[in-house]
Amino acid sequence: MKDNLSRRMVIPGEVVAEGDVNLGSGVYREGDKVCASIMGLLEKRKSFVKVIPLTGRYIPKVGDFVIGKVTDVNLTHWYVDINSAYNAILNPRDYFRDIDAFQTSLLKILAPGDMIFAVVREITPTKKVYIAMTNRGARLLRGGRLLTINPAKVPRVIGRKSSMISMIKKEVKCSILVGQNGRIWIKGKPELVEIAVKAIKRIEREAHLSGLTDSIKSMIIEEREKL
Amino acid sequence: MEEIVSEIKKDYIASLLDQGKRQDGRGFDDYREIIVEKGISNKAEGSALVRIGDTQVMVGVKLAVGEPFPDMPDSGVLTTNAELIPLASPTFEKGPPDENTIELARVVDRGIRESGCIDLEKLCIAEGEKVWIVFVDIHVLDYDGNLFDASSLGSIAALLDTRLPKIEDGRILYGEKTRKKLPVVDKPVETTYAKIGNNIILDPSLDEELVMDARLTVATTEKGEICAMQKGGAGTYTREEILDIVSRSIDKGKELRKYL
Repeated sequence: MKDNLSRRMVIPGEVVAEGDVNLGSGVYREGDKVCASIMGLLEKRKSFVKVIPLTGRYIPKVGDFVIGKVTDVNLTHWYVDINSAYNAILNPRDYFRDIDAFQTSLLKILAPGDMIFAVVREITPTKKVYIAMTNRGARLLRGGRLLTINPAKVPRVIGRKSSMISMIKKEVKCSILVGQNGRIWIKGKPELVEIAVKAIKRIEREAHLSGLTDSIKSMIIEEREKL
Repeated sequence: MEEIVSEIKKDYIASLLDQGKRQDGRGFDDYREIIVEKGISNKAEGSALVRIGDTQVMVGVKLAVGEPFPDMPDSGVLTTNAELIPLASPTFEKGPPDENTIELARVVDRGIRESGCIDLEKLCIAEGEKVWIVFVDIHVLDYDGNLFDASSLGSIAALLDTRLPKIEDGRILYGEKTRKKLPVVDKPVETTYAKIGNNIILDPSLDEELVMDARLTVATTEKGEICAMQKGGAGTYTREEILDIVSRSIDKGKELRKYL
C-alpha cells in the first residue's frame, strides 16, 4: 500500500485540514479548519479527509451488514444485540418471509440466543436502530463458529474490494460471513475453520502492516499442508 | 440481568469438550493462573487480592468488639458479606444484593464456619458481654467465572493475614496493629466443578459458566475432610460423579493451599 506513508496518528482536536474539503468519518469542521474527533490514523486525499479509528465499539451505519444476537422477544418485535452501545430492533415485516404476527408466535421463528445475519435499515435521531433481514444472504445462522474482533479492524479483514476475505474463503473452502460490528461467522470443516480463525486473528493483530494479503495466503497454505 | 448465550457458542464449547479440549486450551483438571497477594490494604485488619485468570476478587477482614449471641455467650462472631459491583461485569447491577451475591457469601461463610478454621472461643473478651466480631467482606473486582473458589481462597488468605488491633482503655485503636494473629487453625479451600453435557471440568471460565448444566462446590480441610458443599444449576450429577468430584477436590485442595 503506497499511501501507508501518508497516514499518521492524530489525536482528538488536532487540525487535520483547512479550507474546502469533503469530510469523512472521525472529523468535524470548526470555522475554516477541520479537526479530528477521535484518535486514529489520518487519511487525506486531494479533497477528502477522514480519520480511521484505532479501536472502539461498533457505531451502526445504515446499510451495514451485521451479525446480531437475539436477546429478547416481544409480541411485535425482536430485540437484537449488535455488539454496539445501542440495541437493535427487528420488526416482523423486515423478516425475509411474510409473518402474520397475530397468528404466529415470534418466538417460534427466532428465539433468544439465535444469531442472525442482517442489515441496518434505519437509525432514528434518538439512536434507535432498526435492522432488517431483507438483504442478500440474510438468515438464521446454524452451527459453525463465531468470532468477535475489534470492529475497527473489520475493513482490513474484508480487504480492498473484499480481496482478503474472498482469498480466505477460497483457500479454506469455508463459508464466512463478516459483520461490520466485528462478529465473524465461519462454517466448514473443523480443521479448516481453525485455520481461518487463526488467519483472521492474525489480520486483527497485524492490521497496520502492508502486504498482508500475501503473507496471510502463504500462512494458510503452510497450515493446510501441516494437516 | 442475565447474559444470553448464543446457541452457536453453546454447541462449540460442548463439542470441544467432547473432543477432550477446552476453549482456552486447559485440561479438564487445571486451574487458570492463580495469584494471591496478601496485605493489600492498610485500613483493613487483614486483606488479600486473588486472581484466577481474569477473575479478580478483593477480600478484607475487619474486626469490631460487640455482644455475643445469647446462645453462645463465650464465642466470637463471624459475618461474611459479598458485593458484586457493576464495575466487575456488565451483568451485575447496583442495588440490594441479589441471589447470586447472597449465595456467594453463604457458600464462602459455610466453608469457613463449618471447617472450624477460626477458633471462635478464643475471640471471647468477656463472657456474655464482649467478643470480637469478624467481618469478612468480599469485593468482586472482575468477573470471569468461578467466583466461589477465588472468594474462598481470598477469604482464608485475608484471615491468615489478619492482625488484631490494639485496645486501650476499652477503645480499639484501628491504626495500630498488634502482632497477635487471629486464631486460624485450619485452611479450608473450595473447588468448583462444572458439568457441561457429560463432561466435568474444574474452574469454569465465564463462557463455560454461562453454558454449564450444573456445578458442584466442595470445601475441604487440610486433613482432607469435606466441610461444606453447594450444588447449583438445573442439571444433575450421578452418585459416581459426586464421589469422583469429592476425591478430585481433596487433591486439588492441597494444590490450592500452596498459594496461601
